[in-house]
Amino acid sequence: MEEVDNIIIDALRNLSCNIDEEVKSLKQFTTEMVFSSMSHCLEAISPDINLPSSLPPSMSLRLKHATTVAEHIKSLGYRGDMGYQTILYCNEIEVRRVLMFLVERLPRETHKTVTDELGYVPRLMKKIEEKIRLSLEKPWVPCDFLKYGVRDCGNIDLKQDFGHSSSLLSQNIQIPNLQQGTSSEALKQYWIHHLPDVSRQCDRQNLIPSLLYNDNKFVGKIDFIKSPEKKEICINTVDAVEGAQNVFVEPIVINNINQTTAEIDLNELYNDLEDHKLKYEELQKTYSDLEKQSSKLKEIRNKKEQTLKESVTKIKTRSKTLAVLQNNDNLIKLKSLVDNGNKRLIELGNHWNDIRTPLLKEYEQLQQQMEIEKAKIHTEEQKLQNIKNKKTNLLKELSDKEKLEQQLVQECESLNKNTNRSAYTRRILEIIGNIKKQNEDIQKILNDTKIVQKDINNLNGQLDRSFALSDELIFRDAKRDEMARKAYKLLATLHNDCGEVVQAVTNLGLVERECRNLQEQIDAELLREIGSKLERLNVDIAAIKKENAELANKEH
Amino acid sequence: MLLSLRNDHKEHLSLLFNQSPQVLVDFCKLAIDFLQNGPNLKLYNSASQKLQVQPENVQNCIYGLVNLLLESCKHKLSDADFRDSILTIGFTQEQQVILSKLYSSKRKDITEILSKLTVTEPHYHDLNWRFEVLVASRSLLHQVTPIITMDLVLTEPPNSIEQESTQKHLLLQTDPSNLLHMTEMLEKALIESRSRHSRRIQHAFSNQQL
Amino acid sequence: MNIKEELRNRVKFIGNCTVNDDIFKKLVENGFSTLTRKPETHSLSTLYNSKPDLIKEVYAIIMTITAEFARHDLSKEEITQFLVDSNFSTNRSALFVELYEKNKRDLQIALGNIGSHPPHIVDVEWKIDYIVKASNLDRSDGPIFRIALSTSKFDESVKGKSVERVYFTCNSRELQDLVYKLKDAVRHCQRLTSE
Repeated sequence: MEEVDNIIIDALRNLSCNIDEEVKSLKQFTTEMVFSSMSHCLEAISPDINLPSSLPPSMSLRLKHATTVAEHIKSLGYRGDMGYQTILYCNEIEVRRVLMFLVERLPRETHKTVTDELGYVPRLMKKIEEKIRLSLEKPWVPCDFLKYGVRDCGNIDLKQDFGHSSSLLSQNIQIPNLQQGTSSEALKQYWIHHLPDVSRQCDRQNLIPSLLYNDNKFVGKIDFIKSPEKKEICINTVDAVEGAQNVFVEPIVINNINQTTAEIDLNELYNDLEDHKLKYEELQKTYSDLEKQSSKLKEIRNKKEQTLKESVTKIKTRSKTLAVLQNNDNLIKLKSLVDNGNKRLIELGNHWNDIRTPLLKEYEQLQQQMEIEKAKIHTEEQKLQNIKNKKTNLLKELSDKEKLEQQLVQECESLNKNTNRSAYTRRILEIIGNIKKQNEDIQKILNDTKIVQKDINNLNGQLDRSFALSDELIFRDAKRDEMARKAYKLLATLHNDCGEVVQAVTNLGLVERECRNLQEQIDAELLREIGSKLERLNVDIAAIKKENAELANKEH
Repeated sequence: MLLSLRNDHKEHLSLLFNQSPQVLVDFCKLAIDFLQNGPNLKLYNSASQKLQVQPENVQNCIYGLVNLLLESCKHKLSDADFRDSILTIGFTQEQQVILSKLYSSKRKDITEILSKLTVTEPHYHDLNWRFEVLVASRSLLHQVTPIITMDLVLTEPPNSIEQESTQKHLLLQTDPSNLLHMTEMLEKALIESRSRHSRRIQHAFSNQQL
Repeated sequence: MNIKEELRNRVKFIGNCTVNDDIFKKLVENGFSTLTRKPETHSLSTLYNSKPDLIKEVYAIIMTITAEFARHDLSKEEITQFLVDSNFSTNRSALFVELYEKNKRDLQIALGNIGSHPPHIVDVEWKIDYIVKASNLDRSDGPIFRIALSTSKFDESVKGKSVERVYFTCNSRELQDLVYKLKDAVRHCQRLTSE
């Protein structure tokens, strides 16, 4: 019985019933525990049932709950005696029977597939498996019903049509770059007014490749009608950009097509275009040459004008000084003034030096301090960076460890269960072995009794026959011999007496068996603890009466 | 069904009516040679010298013999029908045995060639497949896309009679779901062709012809 | 994650730039719908304001970086980290990540649709013919199967999917051969799932 109890208690603990560690067998179960474990089991078996997990203190409510639980158990197909009394006035054997019935019906835990946080390849294999399984399981769907050839299956997309897969082709797109300080004003103006959005610079299906890759830098898309100053022309109009692009493409296409009249026309036009272009180039050149010449001439003119101005001012000062110098006094005055000025200059210079040196020193000191501070800040920054890195590393490690922990916990659980199960199976096998042995013993005993029965029957037969023989012999003699008649009578009485003795022995056996039965019944009754149960029942009745009385009081 | 030949055809064959079985066997060999390698005028010339007839006559006779085989195959004559037709044309019993042998030995090949001549569309020849999983592409570095790539080999009909029929390799692909669908559909076609209904139609056609 | 230094720098520039939050949000929304080939939610020209060149740059760089994220199949956390490192405010990075999560599948579908493939078989049609009479033959043995494989392929000229049929015929024996081979392939797939 111990194993059965262990199994039941283990199952109940798995259902998260509150069962103390100390409880080892069903004997220790209280009414409360019985009720809660039963209701937990029922909830696990059919999730839509909602039952209270513990008994309320009120007696009548207790009765009600116990009855509903009992009814649920009955509806599950329990055959034995089942009612509120089984739960409230429980007896170990009945409770065991009920709980075993319930535990057997517990839904088998669907073994969750543990998603291994394994390497790249196993994960990939798993994904492949899943995708193929899904695509084989799901019913077929015409590709026209799919958006971009992709079928939405919950979390997984299945690609079932590659009709939307355009080949990877990147086009030249221009993105303004304001960060770069060197861009010219003209380029900025172009960006502001004429450059279309990136999404309008290329074909829709080529947008992403064009953004991501710069393949076209390597693929020779040579613009062979390169204008002498392409930038200028591009800046002029958006159309020029788009038009130029078209022009770049068209000649290639046309060249590939076989000779047709249209193409010849086009070629002519194209040649014309070339001619014009050349002419244009030449004109442009001459124009720029002339421009250069004119600017040079302008420069020369400017220079000359400046020199003219300078010489005019010089002439003015010269004439003034000449006028002053004609007076001698004035000359002396001027000399002294100049001397004074010189002296003053030297003084001021000395004074300035006096003020400057300490300031300079201070400045140097401050600069040094700043350098030191800078170095400090730099080291601090490095430290911060290090700490940041460490933090991310630690976070990563933490998440890794957490995952590992989860995995281990899961493994641990599964391991636990497995060992339990194997232990149970071992026990069960042992029990089966025992039962087999017992069965053999019983068989042996049965055989023995059969042999004894046979012997008895044989002996009985022998006895009957010998009695009949002797009876006949003596009866024949009795007609002639007085002694023999007496002997015949004695024989008859002997036979009767013996029969009675045998009867008495068999009766004794019967009585003994009856006795044993009665003893067993008595034991069973004793086990049910009727006395204590009755006491409890009495107490409960008293409680109900009390409650009733209270209710009645309240009513009044 | 009896084969009825045009008169000139009969005339061409009439050269053989009075020849010995050995000569007929030689002519049959020449006809087989014609079927396999085309006309061989040298052989016809030597034969004409032996029989002391014009080379054209021998040539016509060979052509007639081959045509006889073609016509018989075209109408799918049974052995009995062929026998009766030969006898009505004017061959002797002995000759008929030889010709019947020729017919039964070459019948299969000729029918095959004839049926090929009617085919005007690409014909299935072979299929090779391989299972792939696309795990990364330049624009999507992590993905799992199972693909079945197939090489479908089709026999294209020749453009002119001289040309050999060409084999065309078509590289196709599909995904598991469509593969399953495709397989089921084609299997359905196969089952349908074996259904009682289809068989009855086929039977009706064959009966009508006979 | 392997993102070019140049792009990183430009993203940092975007993170610092003086576009107001509302316009930034609209730009990000537009970028996502353009990349997933949906119609743009806002008209771009209304967003230009005083700095069309800056808006154009922000728009282009946002789309580029979004495509890069989806291409590398980055997680929410990795993106947040990257954006915060690139001077994005928490508000903006949260907004971006939210939209990214919403559009990730569509983005990856769009990315997965870049690349060349042989024609993809999407359907099959068949009919059974009996030749009653032909020019060279009175009747043939057994049915002739006319099979059309519908294959879909991207057509450069219409910039979209086009379905083309591959026609061929075969007789019973050859069809049996074909079906055997296809079944073999199917069985291979099924075996992969059962292991």
